Amino acid sequence: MSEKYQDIPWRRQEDLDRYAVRRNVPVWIGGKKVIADRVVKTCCPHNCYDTCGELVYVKDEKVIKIEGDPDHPVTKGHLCLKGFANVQKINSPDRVKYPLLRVGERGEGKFRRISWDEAMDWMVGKIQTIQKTYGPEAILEYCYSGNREHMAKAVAARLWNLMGATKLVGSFCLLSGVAGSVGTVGSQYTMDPQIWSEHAQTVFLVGRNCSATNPHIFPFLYRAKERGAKLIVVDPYATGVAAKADIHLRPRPGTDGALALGLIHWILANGWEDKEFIAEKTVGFEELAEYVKEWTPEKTEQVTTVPRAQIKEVAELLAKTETLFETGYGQQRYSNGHQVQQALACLAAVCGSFGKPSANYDCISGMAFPGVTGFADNAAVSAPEGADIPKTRLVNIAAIAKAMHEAKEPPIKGIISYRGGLISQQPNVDYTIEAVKSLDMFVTIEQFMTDDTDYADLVLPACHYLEQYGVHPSYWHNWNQVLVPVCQPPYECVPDIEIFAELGRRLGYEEYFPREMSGLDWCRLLIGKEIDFDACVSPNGPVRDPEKWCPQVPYQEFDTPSGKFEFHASKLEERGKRFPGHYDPLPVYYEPDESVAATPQLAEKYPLNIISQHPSFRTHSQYYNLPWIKEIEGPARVFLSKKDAADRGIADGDKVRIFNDRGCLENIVARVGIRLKPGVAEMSSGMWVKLGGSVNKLTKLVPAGPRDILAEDGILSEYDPLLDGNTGSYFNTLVQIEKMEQEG
Amino acid sequence: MMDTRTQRILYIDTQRCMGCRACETVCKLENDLPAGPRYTMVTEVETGTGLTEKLNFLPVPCQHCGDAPCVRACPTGALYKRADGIVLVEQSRCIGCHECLMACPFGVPQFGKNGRMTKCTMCVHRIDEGSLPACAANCPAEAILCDTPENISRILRQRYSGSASLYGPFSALLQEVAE
Amino acid sequence: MKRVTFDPYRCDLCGVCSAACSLVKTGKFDASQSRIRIETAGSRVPLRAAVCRHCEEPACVTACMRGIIDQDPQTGLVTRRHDGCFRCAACAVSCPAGACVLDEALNAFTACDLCGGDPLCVKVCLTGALRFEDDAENSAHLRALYAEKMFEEREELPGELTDAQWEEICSILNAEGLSVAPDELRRGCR
Repeated sequence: MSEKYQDIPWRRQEDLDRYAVRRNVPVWIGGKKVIADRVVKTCCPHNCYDTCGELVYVKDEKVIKIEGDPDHPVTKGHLCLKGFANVQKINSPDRVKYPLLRVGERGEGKFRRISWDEAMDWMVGKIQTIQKTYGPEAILEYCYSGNREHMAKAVAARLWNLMGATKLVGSFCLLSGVAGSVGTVGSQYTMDPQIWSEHAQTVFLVGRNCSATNPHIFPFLYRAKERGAKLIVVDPYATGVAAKADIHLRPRPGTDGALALGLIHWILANGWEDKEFIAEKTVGFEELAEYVKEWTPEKTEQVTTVPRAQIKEVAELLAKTETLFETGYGQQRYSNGHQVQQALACLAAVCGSFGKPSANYDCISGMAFPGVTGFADNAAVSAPEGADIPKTRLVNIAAIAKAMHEAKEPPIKGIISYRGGLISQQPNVDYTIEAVKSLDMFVTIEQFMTDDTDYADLVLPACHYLEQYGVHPSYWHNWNQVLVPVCQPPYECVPDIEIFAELGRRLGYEEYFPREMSGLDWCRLLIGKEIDFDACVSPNGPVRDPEKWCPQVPYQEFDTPSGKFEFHASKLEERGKRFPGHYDPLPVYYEPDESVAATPQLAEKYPLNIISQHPSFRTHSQYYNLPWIKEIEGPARVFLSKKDAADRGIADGDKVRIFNDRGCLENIVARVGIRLKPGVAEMSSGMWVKLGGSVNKLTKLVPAGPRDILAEDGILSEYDPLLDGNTGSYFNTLVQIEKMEQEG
Repeated sequence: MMDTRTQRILYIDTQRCMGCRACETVCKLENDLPAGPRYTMVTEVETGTGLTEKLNFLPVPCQHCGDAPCVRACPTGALYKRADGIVLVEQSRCIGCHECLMACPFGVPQFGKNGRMTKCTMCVHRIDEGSLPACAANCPAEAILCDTPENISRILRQRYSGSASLYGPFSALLQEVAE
Repeated sequence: MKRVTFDPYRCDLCGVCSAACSLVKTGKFDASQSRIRIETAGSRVPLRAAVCRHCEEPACVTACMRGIIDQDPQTGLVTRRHDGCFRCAACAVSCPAGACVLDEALNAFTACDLCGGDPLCVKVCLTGALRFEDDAENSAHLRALYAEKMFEEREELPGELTDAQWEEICSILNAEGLSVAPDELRRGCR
């Protein structure tokens, strides 16, 4: 056993050797052969399409090497750069090793080490005081997708339910697109890439930077291309996948919906639509046809800046060939995001691209939200039988800072945060920090001293995903591998499930968090009913999710009120009668709420639309502190077009200042080139606030999606994640950039 | 002199490389390298104007040249070519004079904390066991090939023979001829 | 540490580096006294720069019978004391870079001292062929050059220096306290 391992009485001791695929395996490290104690199969639960199968080599309870699992039918033994950097991450000397209690002011980052017992007592005391003073709803969790697996969240939800805490709902990442998609299509499925890569004639890829977030799609794209298929990419940014495209459409940010309407217009104007599919499988076509009449190529070009010749060419290709629609999430991170996705779904329907091996519409697999679809039995975990679970208010994560500022009855006084960077990832950093400062209790469960920990009262040492159990079915490829701990947690790190179980026991809910329940038992309770559970646990797996939840060739029928594809989205229309917002049944285009066209006066001051892609170097804010990754990425950069740079006297490599009314970033290195068209700048998301590179200093808190949750201050009594939407509209941000004077 | 026809080389299919940079960290892990020496490094090049603008990517590991300039430049014989053509360095003989870096047109020679030259070994330990170098084995885009020139040529022909889009002007010419 | 590096593709063999070096080190134009020499393949193809690399394990330090060549253990810089050099040429013969120069005024062998950390040859090299950079920067630069060539995006190679450039070099030298007229400099470079 490693010296680093320290005993905590209530942390579960388990024999992890039972998960070994092989034992005593020779493996190369730096040109020397080392005998690893065991190899364990698991998968990567970071928020990414690929959910890669991994083989992890462990020696003396230390991860020494990671490889891709060659038996995984989609990821085929390949990993991304972060996958390998996990070895540096999990073994980093900078990890949070012990519970730390704040001794300085909030933001100072001064702490003293305390024991887990003291930490638990502190938390229990604080929670009970807050509950007594303000009521149980003054407590809220903050949790997102740092480790995106669903198990620990469900266990935590059991605790919040028992406590009657305010519940966190929604997403700030993709739900506005999902709302548009669910409104028209119904339940969401994706087709296995092995199928479409052999049949599609055209691949239409929107808003997805595959080389950073979905690298395993490439062999399938190349297979399709090498069969002769055309690849069309829609992205304002010249991405790695756009570099492989036959046609790259570069709309002005936030106008992908208008582009889709223009494409539909040209298809209908020429009679190229799939008349049979439209007659048999859709409703509301006439309404759409009437609406798109105004979207002539000329108007579309004017709105999107995509040349009309390209629009016509692409419309013809989409309609006349068998087209696979692969849509990402970049196009919907604008305040009109759901409309964009609604329009794209309608475009796919007009082309008849549903339910064929050669032509389909992939937005997201319902496996992304297994608790909502029913694949994961969330209720069994979060709402245990016999427990008295009060109905509480909900807070939408896309407007959490707003809710923290505005909540009155009761105010939000205590936040327990895990698996997410509240300060670095929420829009408008300064506004978030202000909200955090007003808390009575801010606990973060973290692996490193991040932006959040600086403001925390209590920092708890979190486990790396390789040190804990988890369930993360992929939302792209439909293969499932249960996450198991490959090694014992180091120092005093405790798996999230066990932290919440122990906290629950100490808050008086012993019967609901039985000590004998292992992480694997929890996982079995969550998904054991729907899948051959043991077949997904190392040394076995991965297993394809059952056909019932993700058919190989989906969309033979539509799970909508009419049972057909709905150009006129009746569910959205119904919902719109009850809640404020943009519940338009048709994909009626409107401008993002901050753009050159929507706010021309603001654009005079701040003429550049800055977008923030997810780079390959990070999963959101994770990995930013690793030497390997830092070396590859270099200093914080902003990409500019040659024209914008020349207008401002900026040369490639100059240091610049980026600013708007919300904030300012300094000493950012300008990269001038062809990646962006004039009027657009790009700075990748996820850099840390305290290291000076967080683009969220500039972004605005305006949740996208049909429901206007800001009207309700983000505090809701009822919420449907699949129809109400909500995404941070990170990309409709206007800024100005200027050259910084040289020092000296 | 090594027979270049049978020597294994690392070939980058630039049609496929999409700049994910997984080769850089898999190399660090395989060779147990800290930040500093970079056995391979992906370089991005922007080309074209207007509608033809695009990004290109090129990972640059050691080319293990047939007649390697670094081996010629090395004054101490620390650099040498193995019988199968792989260029290796015997660090104990290196004096850190940087002549190899001056000679190498690819910027391959690296220098660690000890100031001695180090570089891509084509994962010689893996090659000797009959497996591929780590970067080639892992490349998600299957863009890095490690084989003899003849075999690589065969793989490329298989990849691209069916695809008109990649050889646009050429296939148009063929069609004209056919008509 | 940072070293003087050379990109042969950018060099137009103008000779300014050697001229400036000899001027600042000896007070006159004399390429044979320059601490940097551009070596060519044939007469017009730049090949490499012979300049002290400040080796990790300098052969000159080992070779010097008088022990007057030292390596700073902290910075790695190779320094020379010239008194006592009896010109045995052991350093010059052992140097892998061919960087040692017999200084006529000092009557001793010497080599590049990086002008104390801000080399003049790099400052006056307007084509960008000479750079002062560390290993990582040099390697990244060379890799980028190769990639640019691969995708046929290499920037245009420099031609002959223009009159304005000659003047610019003179003003750089002036700022260093070396007063030279453009014509004089041109002659010195030949």
